[in-house]
Amino acid sequence: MAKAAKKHKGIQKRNRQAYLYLLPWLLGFAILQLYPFMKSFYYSFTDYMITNKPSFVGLENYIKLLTVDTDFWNSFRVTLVYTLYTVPGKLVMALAVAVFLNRNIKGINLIRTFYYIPSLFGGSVAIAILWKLMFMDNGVINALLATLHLPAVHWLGDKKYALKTICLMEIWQFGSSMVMFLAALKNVPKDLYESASIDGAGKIASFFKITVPQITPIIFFNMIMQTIQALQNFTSAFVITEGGPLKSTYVLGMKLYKEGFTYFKMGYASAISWIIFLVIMLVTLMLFRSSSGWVHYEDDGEF
Amino acid sequence: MKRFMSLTVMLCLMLALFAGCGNSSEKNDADASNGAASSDAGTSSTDTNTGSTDASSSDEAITLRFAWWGGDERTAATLEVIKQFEALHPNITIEAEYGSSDGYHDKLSTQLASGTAADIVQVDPETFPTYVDTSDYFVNYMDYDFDLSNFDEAYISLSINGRYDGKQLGLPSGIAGPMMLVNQDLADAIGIDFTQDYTWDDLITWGQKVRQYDDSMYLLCTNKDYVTNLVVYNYLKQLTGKTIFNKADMTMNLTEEQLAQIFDYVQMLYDEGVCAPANYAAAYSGDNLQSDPNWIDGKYVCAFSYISTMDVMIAANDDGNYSVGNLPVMDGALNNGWTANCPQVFAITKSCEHPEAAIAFMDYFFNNETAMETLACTRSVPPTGKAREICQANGSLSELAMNAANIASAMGGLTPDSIASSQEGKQIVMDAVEEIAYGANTPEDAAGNTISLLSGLIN
Repeated sequence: MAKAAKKHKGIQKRNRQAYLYLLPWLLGFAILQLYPFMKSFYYSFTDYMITNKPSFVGLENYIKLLTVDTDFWNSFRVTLVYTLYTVPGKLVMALAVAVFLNRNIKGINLIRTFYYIPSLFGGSVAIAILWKLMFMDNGVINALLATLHLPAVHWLGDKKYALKTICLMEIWQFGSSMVMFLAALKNVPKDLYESASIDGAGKIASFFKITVPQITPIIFFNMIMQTIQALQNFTSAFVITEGGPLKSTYVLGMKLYKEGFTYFKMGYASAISWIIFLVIMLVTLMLFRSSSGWVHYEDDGEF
Repeated sequence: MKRFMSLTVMLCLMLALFAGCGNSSEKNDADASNGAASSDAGTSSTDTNTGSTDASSSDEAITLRFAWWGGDERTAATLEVIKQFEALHPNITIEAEYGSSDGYHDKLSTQLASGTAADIVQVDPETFPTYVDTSDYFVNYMDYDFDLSNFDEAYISLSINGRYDGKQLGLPSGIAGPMMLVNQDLADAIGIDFTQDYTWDDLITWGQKVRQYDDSMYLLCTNKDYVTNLVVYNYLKQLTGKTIFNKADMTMNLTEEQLAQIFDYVQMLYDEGVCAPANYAAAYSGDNLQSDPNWIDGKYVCAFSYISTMDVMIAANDDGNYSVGNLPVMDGALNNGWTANCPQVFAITKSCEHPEAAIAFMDYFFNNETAMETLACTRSVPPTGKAREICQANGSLSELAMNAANIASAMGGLTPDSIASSQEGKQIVMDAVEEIAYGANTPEDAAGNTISLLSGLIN
């Protein structure tokens, strides 16, 4: 009996120690994440304006957002289209380059580094400005088209191309997904390919029948991460096109910023941020739901 | 022992974490004394007014933050004035926070709300009323016995120049306003005379003339921001004789038919090739007109500009021979529309811990002759008669700037109301201008939509 009590006391002491070690993270989480998170939830039901004291208005912000504000549905559509372009585009690009780099040739590490460089700049304003300069009417891309005797394209000024131009920048930053694909490709057992080739399978068949199923957990992980990132996009739309032309690149992140920091309507902006949060959660849940049908785990997904 | 070691390491890490969150006042104090020791003491020989007050002359080390936006020239002159002031007041250090105008007010709004704004801030005069309306953010210069005698009373008593309900909450940095910058050689070659009185319709005729002369050229270098702020808002005042909103009783002065007529004109500007197509100009929106390669190549006859940014436009293509043209006024205009105003106001925030020191700096900034000479025309035509004399004598006040200020002042149009000139009000009108410019909407439909969105601002 006394022994059990002593053991219990020991566990309690160790728990306290563990919490002490976790304290820096817990404090950071509570102050920098949990508190703003809950506060924004509260603000979304108020008419908070940065400059005035918030007063409760119930669901007014949400009702206005979903029924009156036509910009919201446009932004919603633009954000979905952006996600539908960039996520598959980036995954295919990253996988293709990873397959290309998954070989033993001289200087392969240097080549891998070069392909990773665009991702190091990820989300930076400088790269967005560079993109803007490249795709301007008098920019490098149109100059290249001119040397090929092709007509100039209004990459940023034409509603048809502006969003696609921004998507290209996101797809170009495929490095982090690529590194993960590369690691996953290295983990595919070689004997699977050997037995497949003995059975007469070609390279393409092996890729789709062995490689892809073997790396589905990484495809799934990358898809989730990229989808979340795409639904939150802000920098490229803000810096390159400022949401234009004709609001064709006015993504939800940009609308959130404008309402909050340009028009000072923090309560309304908080409501937008909660809608974005719900959309991200819903999409992620749907992806998880679908995963049981196509993601293959060596250990059947058990922990 | 092991446990003792791990706890010690843990505590050290936590202390390091909290030290990172602490404020930097100690460091600032150290900087203040260093800055004072190393600052150049040789600039004060001709000073007539050092603006010393109790706080600024005591030995207490004071650090002030001063925020502004502007180009390289303005920044260099302002930094030089800071240096001069610090030499006279070794106990005061001024930390400069400068950059471009992009996002400046977005940041300032949050800083004001959280009480972390700089002590002295440069603010756009059309954004200033929003801040004044919402909260008590700024110090009244009059509470501090600030010497306003160099300013023209009629000028600084206008609310757009900083006086609200008898309180001087801001000081105008200069005399500015819209202007027509003309590439004179090209205008002469095509036969267009901007020195005469002319109407908005003349601009359309001249625009067609330019296209006939050379189809790679346009009359007007502009973008949706300038069309909104200068064409739509001034056309509107001339047409209605009023601003969009009547702030006193929160009503709208503008009808849908009137707005449709204004938007018709905007459509003509684009359809008749008076300005470059919207999809071309999109890359040079906001304050980026000077980056338009066609402006740099001298392919535009003129540009609506501001006196405060004229130099930037000229610097982008300094081969040109420039002049200042008159501004368009319609036949039978009910108001001239165009008006001079100040490019920025300077305000001292209530969160400032040493307002006397900030006042002393502003006093040096506006009233000291050395400072006037150093700042010259980096914020448009100087606001005080004394500074204008100095700048005219040493040649830094160009004839172009003086002409432009005279033309805008003589127009004497209505000052825009603060609801229509708020960021949201401007954005609503600009979205409509963009739709018309792209041909995505008709002037009538755009007008109906705009009126309903604008009325949302007062309901």
